[in-house]
This record gives sequence, C-alpha cells and structure tokens, in this order.
Amino acid sequence: MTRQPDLPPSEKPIVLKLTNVTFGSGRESGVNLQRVNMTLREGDFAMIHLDRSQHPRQLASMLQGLKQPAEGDVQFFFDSQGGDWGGDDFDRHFKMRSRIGRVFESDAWIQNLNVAENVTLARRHHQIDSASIEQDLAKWRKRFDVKNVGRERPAFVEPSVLQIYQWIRAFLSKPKLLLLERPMQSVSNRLRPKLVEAINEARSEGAAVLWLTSNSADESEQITAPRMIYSLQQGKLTPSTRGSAS
Amino acid sequence: MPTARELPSILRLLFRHGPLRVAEWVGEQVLGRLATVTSILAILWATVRLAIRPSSWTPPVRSIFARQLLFSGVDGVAVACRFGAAVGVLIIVQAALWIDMLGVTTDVIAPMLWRAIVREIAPLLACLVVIGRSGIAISTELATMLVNHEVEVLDAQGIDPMTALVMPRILGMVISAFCLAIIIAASMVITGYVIGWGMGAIHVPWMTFLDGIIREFNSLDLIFFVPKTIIAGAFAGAICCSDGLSVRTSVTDVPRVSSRSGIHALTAVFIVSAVLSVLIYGRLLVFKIL
Repeated sequence: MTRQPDLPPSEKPIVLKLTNVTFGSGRESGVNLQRVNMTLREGDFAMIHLDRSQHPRQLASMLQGLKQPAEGDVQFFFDSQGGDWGGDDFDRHFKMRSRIGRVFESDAWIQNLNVAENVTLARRHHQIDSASIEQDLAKWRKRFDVKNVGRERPAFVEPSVLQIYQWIRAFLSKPKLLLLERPMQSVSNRLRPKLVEAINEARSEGAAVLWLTSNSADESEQITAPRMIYSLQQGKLTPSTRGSAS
Repeated sequence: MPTARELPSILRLLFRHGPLRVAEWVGEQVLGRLATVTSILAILWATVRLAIRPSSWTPPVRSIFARQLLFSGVDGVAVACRFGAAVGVLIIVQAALWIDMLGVTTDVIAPMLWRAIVREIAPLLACLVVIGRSGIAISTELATMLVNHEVEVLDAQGIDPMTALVMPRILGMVISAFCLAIIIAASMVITGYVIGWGMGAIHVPWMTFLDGIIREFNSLDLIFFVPKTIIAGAFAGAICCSDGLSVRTSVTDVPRVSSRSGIHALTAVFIVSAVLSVLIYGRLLVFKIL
C-alpha cells in the first residue's frame, strides 16, 4: 500500500457509508441498529462500544454484505471501485470483500486447514502479491512477537495465539477496511500498543477502521486522529467524543 | 371392516382430511421434488460454468481439488479393486452356472458378461464406492463447516464457497467415479480370468482372452460407460454438497443430514442409470419404448 496524500479528513475518499440503516440480528444478544448514518473515510478510525452481552458478528457480516439490513443502504468503496451490496453481481461483491480485513469474535477458522493456510488463504486466492506472502507473514509474526504455529491446525493452538494470527490475517490482505470484533479478547493488554501501531500504519496507508468493543481500555491514547468513539444505545450510535453519526 | 388405523397412510390421510387435502399434499410433494431437482441441476450448471473459467482455478482451489481427487480417487483404488475382485468372483460363478445350465460355451457367455460389467456393474459399483467413501464425508464436512460458521469465514474473505468448496468436490467425485469404474471393470476381468482359469472354465491364454475382450468393446459401450459414470458421479456429488449445505445451525443435524445425503445420492445414481439405459438403448427392461 502507498501512503495517502495529505487531504483534509473530510475530503478523503469514502470507504464505508451507512445510510439510514436499520438492522436487527434477530437475536437478543445481537447488535441492533435503528436508522443509523455513518461515514468512514480513508484513514478514519471508529470505535463502537457494545454491551458485554452483545455479539457483533451479525453486524460485521451486514457491513460486509453477508446479511441484508432491514432498511437503508451499506456501501463500501476502494480504489474508485465498489458500491453497495445489492444485486447479483457476486464477482464484484467477492472482490469488494477481499479488501476487507476482519477479526472475528468467534469461529474464525477453517478447521481442516492449518494456521498458515488459513492466514494466507484470501491473499493466495485473490493473488495479491503472491510472491511475497511468506515474507510478509514472517514480518507480521515478528512484529506481533508470536510463535510460529503455521503448521498446526487451529484446534491445537491456544486461543491467545490464534487471536494474534487473526490480526495477521486481517492485515495481510492489505485491507481498505478493517472490521475488528473485540480484537483484544484472549490477548494480553501489553500487546494492545502493537495492534494500535499496526492500525495507525494501515490508516496512514488509506485504510478505514471500525473497532467493536466492550472494553473501555481499548480506547488507547495512541490511536491517532481522526478518531470517533461511539456507544450504541437502543439502536442509535451516540458519539462519545467527536464523530458524524446519528 | 378395517379401521382407519389399519389403512395405509395415504388412505388414512384421505379418510381424515378429504380429497382436497390429499391433492394439496401430493402437489406439495411434487413441487418439493421438482424444486430439489432444479436446485441440483442449478448446482451442476454452476459447477460447469465455474470449472471452465480459468480465473476460478486459484492456488487454494487447485489444492482443494487435488485433495479431493486424492481422497475420492486415489485412496479409493484399493477398495475399488477389492469390490471388483469380489464381484468378479460372483460373476464367474454365475457364468459357470449358466454354461452348465444352458449348455453353451464360454464364447457365448463372455460377451454378455463383458457388456454387463462395462455398461452396468462397473459404473454402479464405482458410484457406490465414491458415495460411500467420499459423498457422505463431503456432506458431513460441509454441514460441519456451515454449523461452525466456516463457510461464512470464507465468504467474508471474498472467497466464493461455490468455487472453493462445491465445484472442486463435485469435479473430484466425477473424475474419481470415472477412473474407479475403469479400475473396477479391469479388476473384475482379471479376477474373472484367474478364477475361471483356476476352475478350468477358461482354457485360453491371458493375451487371447484380453484380445477377445478388446474385440468385444464397441462404441456403444463407450457411449454408455462415459456418460453413466460422469453424470451419475456429478449427481451424487451435487446431492451430497447440496444436502451438506442445507443443514440448519445445529450440530445435531449433521449426522441426520449425512445419512440422508447418502441415501439421496444412491437413489439418484440408480435413477440416473435407469434413465440413461432407457435413453441410450431405447428400452425399459424388456419393453421397447422408442
């Protein structure tokens, strides 16, 4: 990825746009939205505080076009491409999803592939810089100081290590949007600065980030501006500091 | 006078709910079956379309395809040889009985046996091996992946589950069924010769026996053998994938779906074989219909 020119934040290209989105996951523990508007531009960071009982998986899937909102429109753009998730242009949808890095809250692995195959799967499938995948994987492993368990199946790797490999998978596909569902769960707090540093670097290269959490400690001071912190109350996004949500 | 409890279920339905309800039930069943067949044909069409598109064959898809071929085809060779050998023995015993009963020579019986092997027995046995070894495993694997949200994980990374999960598995089953049918036919012939030679029923050398078989082979055998193995294998694969991906989000559904898909696939293989027999030979059992 290349570093973005210094445009004012409000003039940077839009990455994710929610317009009057109403979404109910159908479960009490899911995240519900009521006519939510939100815009994330290149380099933006948004953190949404959820209740501990709420699971953000369905919400993240909706942002990726895997679930349909009851009302409203979700759009995702990258490199002057993308658009909404409607219609049956599935090839375009898959291409759009290939530019979204996601850390799942749970059930994040293909169990019959080893960890290395899992982590590199999307990049090998979409043939993004195929030649340098191994070097990049080694670089991220070193950066997050995680042991090499690439040949192990996910079922045999401890959750804290697997979680860091989820981070690596999300960054490895050179994403334009990062969807992080409680990325710090199972992981030591001492690793938060490393994650935040990697996020800031991705943002400086044009990625937008949406961090879903229920831990106020995740609101790290290291997260650079522009950053928007929201809490979700009765389906509405309420800005905690500054933002553009309603 | 029989009570309602003693009547067959459909009559009981008629007895309780009247003709309209029965018509509704029959209509639902027919529409349901039609929807299933349409869905299977759609999966097969999508598989062909994806398979001929070079961009589908990314390194992970090639790897999944290779693993499927290894599991369904290569690992199935030993089972196919065992099945072929066992059925070869049964056939040679039957042949010996016919020769005694009808008072004919081996030259009369051999071509009939050869046709039965190539046109019916080998393709059916190959499909049974592929369904038993791989089909049920595929539906279990896909159902488990769906329940554990692994399909969603693939989808979320921009990987089409149809391209990465379904297409290579169906193709793997088709190619395996075709190759295993050849191996089973060969295994039957070799076993038949060895047993027949040992029993004194076959007196000709192996090369002469083989030459006779090759002379018996005609284009109709090929016309029957190739589509039968390929179409039956494709239907079996599509049914196993479709059933596996139809599971609801509960692990307890997985074994039920797996066993059901095995039965569905076997039923389809027999139906496909029968339909192909009718279409190719123009005969349904002993009645000429075309």
